Amino acid sequence: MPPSTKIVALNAAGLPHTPAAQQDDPIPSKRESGENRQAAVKLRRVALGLALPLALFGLWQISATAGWITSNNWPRFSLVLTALALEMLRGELPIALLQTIGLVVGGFAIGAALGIGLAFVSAVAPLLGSGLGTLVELLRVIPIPALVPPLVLLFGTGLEMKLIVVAASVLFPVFLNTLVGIVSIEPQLKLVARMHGLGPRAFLRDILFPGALPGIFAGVRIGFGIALVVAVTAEIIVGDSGIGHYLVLMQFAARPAEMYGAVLLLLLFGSLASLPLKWMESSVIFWHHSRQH
Amino acid sequence: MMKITRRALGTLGAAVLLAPAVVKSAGLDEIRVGTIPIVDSTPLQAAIKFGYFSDVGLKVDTSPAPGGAAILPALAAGQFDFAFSNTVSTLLGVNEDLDFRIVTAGCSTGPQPPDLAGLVARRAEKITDGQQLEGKRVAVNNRNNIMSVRTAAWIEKTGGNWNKVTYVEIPFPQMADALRAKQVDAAMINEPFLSLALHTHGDELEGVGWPLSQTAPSGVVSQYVSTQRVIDAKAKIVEAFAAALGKGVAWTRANIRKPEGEALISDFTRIPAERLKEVALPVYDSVVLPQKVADLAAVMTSQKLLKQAPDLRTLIYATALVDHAT
Repeated sequence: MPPSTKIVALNAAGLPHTPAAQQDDPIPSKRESGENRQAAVKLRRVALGLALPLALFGLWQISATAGWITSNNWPRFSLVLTALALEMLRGELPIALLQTIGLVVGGFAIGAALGIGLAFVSAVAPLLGSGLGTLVELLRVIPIPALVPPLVLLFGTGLEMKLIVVAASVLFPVFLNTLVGIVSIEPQLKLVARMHGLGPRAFLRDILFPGALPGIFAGVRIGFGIALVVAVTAEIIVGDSGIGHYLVLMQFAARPAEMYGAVLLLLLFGSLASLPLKWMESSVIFWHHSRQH
Repeated sequence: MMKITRRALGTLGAAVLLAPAVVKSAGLDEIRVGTIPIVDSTPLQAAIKFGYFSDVGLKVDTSPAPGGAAILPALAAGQFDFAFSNTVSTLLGVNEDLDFRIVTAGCSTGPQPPDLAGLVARRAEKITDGQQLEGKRVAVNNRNNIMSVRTAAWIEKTGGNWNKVTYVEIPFPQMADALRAKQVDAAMINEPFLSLALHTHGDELEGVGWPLSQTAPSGVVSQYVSTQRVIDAKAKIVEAFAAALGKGVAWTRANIRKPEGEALISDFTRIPAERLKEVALPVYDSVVLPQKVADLAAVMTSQKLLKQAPDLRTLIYATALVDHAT
């Protein structure tokens, strides 16, 4: 039996984590129509979710064409779309996007691994943990972009520096949420594990790690959003690569349509990139109450 | 700027230890140059593109910083061997006891307008001189650079007191919008934003003065700067850099208004070539005239930006006094 299923069994036995849908619809025939209703609600929600941004883009287009806003910095939305398409074909923008993705993924992976690792170290060694916790509480309030200038002095303006900035900004939310995940594991579960004579390695693998997963995923989700923001910010401040640099270059070349096009691309990337994480979360910790609505 | 240089000074000790040594790669000495992707740095880009640097055994690694604010601190910290810098920022750094040395010429203003930057105001207010700007708000991209110093000098020259004017830092791309929204009453706008603003909003905005050439015809704007530390460690490389850049200046002068020149500028600034035809370009210098630097230092001293006049004989290194473009 794989460890995760064991936990599910324990969890289901120890805690009333029964799916909400089953409680609401005790009669099978009613449940079916309920599912249909749910599908319709979901569809309506997606449609509404798309309608609002589309309406805003439409408003943008009208405000520029009708002359409500005349400024060199307010191109028509259709021009932004054209610029985006042309720049994607020209090849500079896809390269910039790949550079940014590399920075986000690389920095995120380093920061998340360190955050999770440190959280488990703190959980296992409480004395070290309280020291580390204080340090993290102090450091996490510093706006990361403020750290860029001193980091430039220490690590230069290259990829290394930007990876450190991104990793540092991911580390804190992942660390704190993982810690919360570990702390919120049912004490009864730990007792049961101890009664069954679980060794320290098995305890970590079968109790601590799976128990902390909801916290880890919460931290990772927050961390990924931050990674994207911080990566682009770092690129805006230093260096000559990525979407951040492209944004500033186009701004100072008086090409706002290209600039907004790149912002649109970031928007698309940001929303698509969170999908694999969400999917992973819902398939790994399907048993957790936060996944069941 | 002064704040930044002071911070740079503080971290100098740590940074010296971390300063990268010159790396030999494929027989070429690698140098790091801090630059801004604007039309002013065309000779550097030309010298890179046409191999003038590799001809003299140099491989140039440029780090274009669009804002440019971090360039001099990075030079002071040893992250760069050379930096493209406006003369005011350089003099402010020297005033803070940083060991900056002008190693080769950059750009100047033309003898008369149009300049690469101009003072713009709203038509309706009929502003014609500095006196009318007293008590008003003027947008500059940086409170302590060549643009703000020349704007203050223009206000003074046209009968105003620059101390009674409030400077507001606004990036060039946003200046026209800030003017039209009445957040400021005048703005010192650089190209290509100057011609764009007058083109799009010519009914509302107008050029009221040319602070650069009207206060200092053919005045200095920028140079390439290094540090005494770099000169002591690699004097040969500094000489080679100046020589190669001089060839870049010669190419730029010959081709700047030709399709090749416009293609090169468009390539590194991303400004469309057709728009370049409408904008004023700087004068590309091949030799530094100490008197021009002294003139600017005098203006800065009168504006209380400098504690004392800089020692030009140490500030301007020998390579800057040789015309490398001929």
